[in-house]
Amino acid sequence: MQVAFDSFALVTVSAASPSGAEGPDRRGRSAARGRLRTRQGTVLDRAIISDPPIIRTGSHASRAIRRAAERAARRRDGVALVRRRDTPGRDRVASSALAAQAAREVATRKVVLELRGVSKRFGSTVAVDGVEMEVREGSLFGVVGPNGAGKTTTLSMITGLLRPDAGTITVGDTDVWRDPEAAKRAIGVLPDRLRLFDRLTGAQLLYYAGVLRGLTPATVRERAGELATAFGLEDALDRLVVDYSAGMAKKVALAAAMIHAPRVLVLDEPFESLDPVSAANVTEILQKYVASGGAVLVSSHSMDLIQRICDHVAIIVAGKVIVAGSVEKVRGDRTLEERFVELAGGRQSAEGMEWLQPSSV
Amino acid sequence: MVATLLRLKLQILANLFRRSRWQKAGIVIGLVVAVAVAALGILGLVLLRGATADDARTPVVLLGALIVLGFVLGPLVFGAGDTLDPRRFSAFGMRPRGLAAGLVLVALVGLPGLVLTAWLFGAVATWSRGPAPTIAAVVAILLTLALCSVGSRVTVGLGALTQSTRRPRVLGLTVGSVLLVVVASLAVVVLGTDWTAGSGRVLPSLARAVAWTPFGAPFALPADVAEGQWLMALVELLSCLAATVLFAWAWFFVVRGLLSSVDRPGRGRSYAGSGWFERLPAAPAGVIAARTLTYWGRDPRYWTSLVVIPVVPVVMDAALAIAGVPSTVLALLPLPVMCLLLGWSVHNDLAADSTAIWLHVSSGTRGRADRWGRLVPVLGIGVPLVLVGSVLTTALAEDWELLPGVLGLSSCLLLTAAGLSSLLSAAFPYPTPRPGDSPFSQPQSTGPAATVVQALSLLAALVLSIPAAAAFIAGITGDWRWHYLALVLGLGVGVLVLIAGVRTGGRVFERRGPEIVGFAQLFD
Repeated sequence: MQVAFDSFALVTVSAASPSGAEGPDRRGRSAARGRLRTRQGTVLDRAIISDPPIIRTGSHASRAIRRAAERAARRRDGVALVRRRDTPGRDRVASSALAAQAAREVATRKVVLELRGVSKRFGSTVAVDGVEMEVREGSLFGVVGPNGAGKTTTLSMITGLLRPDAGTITVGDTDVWRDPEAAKRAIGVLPDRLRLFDRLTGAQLLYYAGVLRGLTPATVRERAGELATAFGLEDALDRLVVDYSAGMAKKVALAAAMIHAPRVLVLDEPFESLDPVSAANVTEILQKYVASGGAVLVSSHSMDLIQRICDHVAIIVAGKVIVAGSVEKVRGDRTLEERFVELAGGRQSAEGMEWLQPSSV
Repeated sequence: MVATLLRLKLQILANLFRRSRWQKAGIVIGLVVAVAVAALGILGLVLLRGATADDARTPVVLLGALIVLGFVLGPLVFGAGDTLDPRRFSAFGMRPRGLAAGLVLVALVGLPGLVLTAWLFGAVATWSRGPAPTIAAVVAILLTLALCSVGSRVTVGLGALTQSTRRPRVLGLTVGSVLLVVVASLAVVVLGTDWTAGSGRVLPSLARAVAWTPFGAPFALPADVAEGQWLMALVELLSCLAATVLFAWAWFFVVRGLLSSVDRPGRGRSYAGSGWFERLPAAPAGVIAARTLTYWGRDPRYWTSLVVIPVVPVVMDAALAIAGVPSTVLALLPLPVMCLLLGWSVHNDLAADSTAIWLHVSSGTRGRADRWGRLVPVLGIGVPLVLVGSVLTTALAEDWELLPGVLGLSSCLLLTAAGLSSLLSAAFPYPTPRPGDSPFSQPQSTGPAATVVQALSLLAALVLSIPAAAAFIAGITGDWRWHYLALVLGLGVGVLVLIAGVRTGGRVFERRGPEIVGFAQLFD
């Protein structure tokens, strides 16, 4: 049942998946109910989000309601509180609640990328230590971690660019390191800090990547054109990649990673050096790809972004996954950033730096 | 300032030993070789003490001028001065004058400077035949050191300046490579001459001429003092001083220019169409070939090595012509040499891609496609070269019976060198200038790998061509029918080695994909 009010709607999602079977917490629900009553004089006990789960609501939902809804959402009961269609932007509560629901939906899907006990050491330093991860179809999976935590190392081992010391990595049903050829066909790769063949023009680079991936020239040209439009690269296609700005180079590399329509996209820092508009474009492209059943693994430093676009997240610290799961579960009652700083530790207070102020020297 | 720069330089040198065992071994071998060469050079100079001033002058002036020239031009050609680029100090707000002076003083710290200084002091022994020549020799040495240090800085700085634009000056690089070849071949001539036999008449007069240049002047100075030619000595002193001052002045401006200029980002020009990609088949090997050809045109690292290929045989022939080798024999040389160098030119092709090679690895490109794709351009130039070149060679040698032999030998050299390159570039890549760097800049550490792989690939191609070469020589000296055996042997061995090289190279590429990416990351 979907309940919609003229101004807003608060919808709790009953447990369709086993993880939510325990139902809403008493306090969370009552808080939500109470707020609703004061506002609208209507009690909303429980509703099921329709499919597709889009609910139009008012833009003036009070902070109290949002907080109540958020709390309810944290009790693993999806709560959707969405702005009206005519108001631009999306409400955070809504997206988090919808993400909670999406996360539960995802949990039932097929695993397309699986890491078991993956380890890598460089000399005496252990870069990655027994990492376990599962990425399912239709999932946007975020990997976050402090600098040097082993994110890039992990992603490189998935994409076949770095040989793990131990552990298995499976894409679909293929072991990446037993049958690299088949596995690599299913993966689209955006590595971080590796060069491109940048003496080619953008168009040539996309064509090159496409043909290496076994596409026919006609297909490559068609897809390259569409990708260029989607990423806003049309005007740059005939210029050398070496003359691109960092953001444009990132976009052309992203386009090259997607050109063969892989099952899994492994993207290392895809949003780094992208402007907000480009980042929104990329996000939309990724969400569309995920909605059609693709799986995306992204690493990023932007917690806000990961919290906003991902349904699942893993926090890697010192080569170990210290927590993984749905974004809602991982972040608990805080933002992902707060949770991350708490888990990753190493937060230094800026004490004893009194000299750091503009001086005449 | 100088103390800080000196500490920095010493730290950089000390860090050479904080590398892997093999690299350390390479450095030690390099040290031993350098010390041995220096010791031999000093021994020679000490022995020349017994010769008359006139006899000693010629070898000392010529060799000295070559060494100074090499020291000054070396950084431009080999790009050794990368570590203390003035631009790296731009953020510290140093005054250009102080920095310029400091870098000049530090320039001699290091193995080349040490060997040079030691060798120069050997020259004091040569001229220690009386107080005046000895003093002149010491003064000359100090002047030479100043000239070398300032001169090498200027070329390093100019290299950095030309490198700042994305498309380096074609002229400067070509001049650099031609100069290198000329200097190297002159060195061969000078070293190959029998000095005890009076050394003819050409070289002493050459030495007299070189003495007028600032590079030869400091070496002629003590000789002229010893002979009592004071006017000439004064001219040489002034020539050397003037050059040093001029270089110092230029160096100051180069440093100031480097500290105040910024790389221009530039919008870059537009390239319509897909170029080679349209003309070659849309298969992995095809696009890799198209990419290689595109890079040959756009990346100076490739075309500088290609430009040298026709220059080398010309210089070789010129040197041999001076030595009195008949022209019909000289006509036979260029084609095989060019074929060998062409096939050999791609022996480190993979390293030139730097980390961009990840695209081949992560897309699961077949090794064979990768190998063939890189060879297609080489063979595309090489096969016509062999065909046309063989006809030209036989025409110049005025003996048409040679044609099959020339065809066989040159195609054997081309194909074996290409096949070996195919295997070695996948199995043993060694550091090379990074994309966008000057083709003459060198990576911070090359270690022994570079030399070993270079020598091995050349030698192996030569050894594998011995049967064809033997048949060819038998054809020249004996029955002309041997030439047909040379053709059969040359083509047979060549094709076999080519196919074997591509196959094993391809397998190695597939197996070592991640290691190749790791290697590229290490040196990027």
